[in-house]
Amino acid sequence: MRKVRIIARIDIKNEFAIKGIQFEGLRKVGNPNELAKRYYEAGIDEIIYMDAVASYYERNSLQDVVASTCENIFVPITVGGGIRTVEDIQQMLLAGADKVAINSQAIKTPDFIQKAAQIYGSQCIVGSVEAKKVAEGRWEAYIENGREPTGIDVVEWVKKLECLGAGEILLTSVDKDGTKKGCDLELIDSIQKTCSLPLIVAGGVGKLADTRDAAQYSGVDAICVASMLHYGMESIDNIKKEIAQIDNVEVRC
Amino acid sequence: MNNIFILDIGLGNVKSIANAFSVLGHTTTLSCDKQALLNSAQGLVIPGVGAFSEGMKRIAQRDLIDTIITFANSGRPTLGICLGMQMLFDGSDEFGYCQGLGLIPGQVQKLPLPKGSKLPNIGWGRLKPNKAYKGSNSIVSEDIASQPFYFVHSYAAKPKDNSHTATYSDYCGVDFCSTVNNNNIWGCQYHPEKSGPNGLQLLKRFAQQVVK
Repeated sequence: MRKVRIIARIDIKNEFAIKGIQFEGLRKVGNPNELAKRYYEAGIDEIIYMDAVASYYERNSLQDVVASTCENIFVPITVGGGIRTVEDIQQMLLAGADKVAINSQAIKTPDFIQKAAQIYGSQCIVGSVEAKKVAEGRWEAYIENGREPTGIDVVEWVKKLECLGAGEILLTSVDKDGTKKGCDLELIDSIQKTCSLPLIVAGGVGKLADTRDAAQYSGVDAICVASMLHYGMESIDNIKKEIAQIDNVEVRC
Repeated sequence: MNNIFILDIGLGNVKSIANAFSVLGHTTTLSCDKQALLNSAQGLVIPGVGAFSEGMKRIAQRDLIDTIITFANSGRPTLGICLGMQMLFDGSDEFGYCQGLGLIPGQVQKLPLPKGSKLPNIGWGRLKPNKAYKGSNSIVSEDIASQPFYFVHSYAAKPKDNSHTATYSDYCGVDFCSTVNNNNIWGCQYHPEKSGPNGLQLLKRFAQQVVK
């Protein structure tokens, strides 16, 4: 049986949980600790905290949020946004994070992924990829929370991240983020065919069927859900039941 | 006083283990101080993520190898988590052969997976009790014996004596030892501190052994 994880993604700005559409127009959706606790109690498999402004403004406000979350939440926690140095990683791990997601700094200095993996192990380093469609069957990697194009092809970049020592890939569609209009299935398909690391897909989930559409690909290991949970549109139970309907797929229950 | 000593060698998320015991009402000490371990600790948790050789190197640098062995041989409950479990064994093949603590006979090897399987194994896997395991008072109590726990690993331990394997788990159809027990020494390949209420239940069982 193939296992698919359901991950709650909580974007953070200062001390608030926020959600934007295509990374823009950020709206407050609550207190991150309260959301995380609610999702934990409802059976979420993992939590991803993403600092929505850290990378852009060169600052990092997540440490306190992570530390208090870890006091009473006992599922894996990944932290991303503004992770630029080994010290940043160390700080997040000390606060209680299990993994860090790295995007902008990986593009700027790819060796950073290699160095981080050597120190903390690949299992700790999530290669975060923000993909924007630029032509039919072609996606470009973006940095700084979907704001800055890099000219780098996403399929190639995922392969590179694997070679550098990342242990997981978090693939976010910039086009679909926050739209609740379904995932970019072409993007997911083209990555899942070639990616031999555990693959987390994010961006666009707005209804139960969207989670199932994304989870049907055999190379997809985890689905990120944000808006649907933040706005109380669906329960974690229902999402898991939906995905468990796919042949040969198992969820944690 | 029920003092659980969490070995802090600067690898991985030790804070969450302390938080888990704290929620369960137990005091912990996060430290790598030899004297504190030998003289005032009643139970020991060896955490760790990352490479086997890096973990052993850090233990050796702090001159802790003999101290840990002395502590475990004193009969006090000892629990290795993830890499901490692997280091309880004789040695590992990861990045060339590296010697372990030798507290449980056996070797650590890369998961022998079918071609095309993804590594690391990241995600939730169920425990499956081993019928040949004869231990009583297992930290894997009956209510959690077939529940899912959170795994992150590419290597797994193979105990020399099959009766030391308390539970198996499988990944891509391959069974591996997920909980090991040799007298007062325990190891789990999964992360109980990241496995929700089931993981807390397991840590509670371990803490109960520390109290006794």
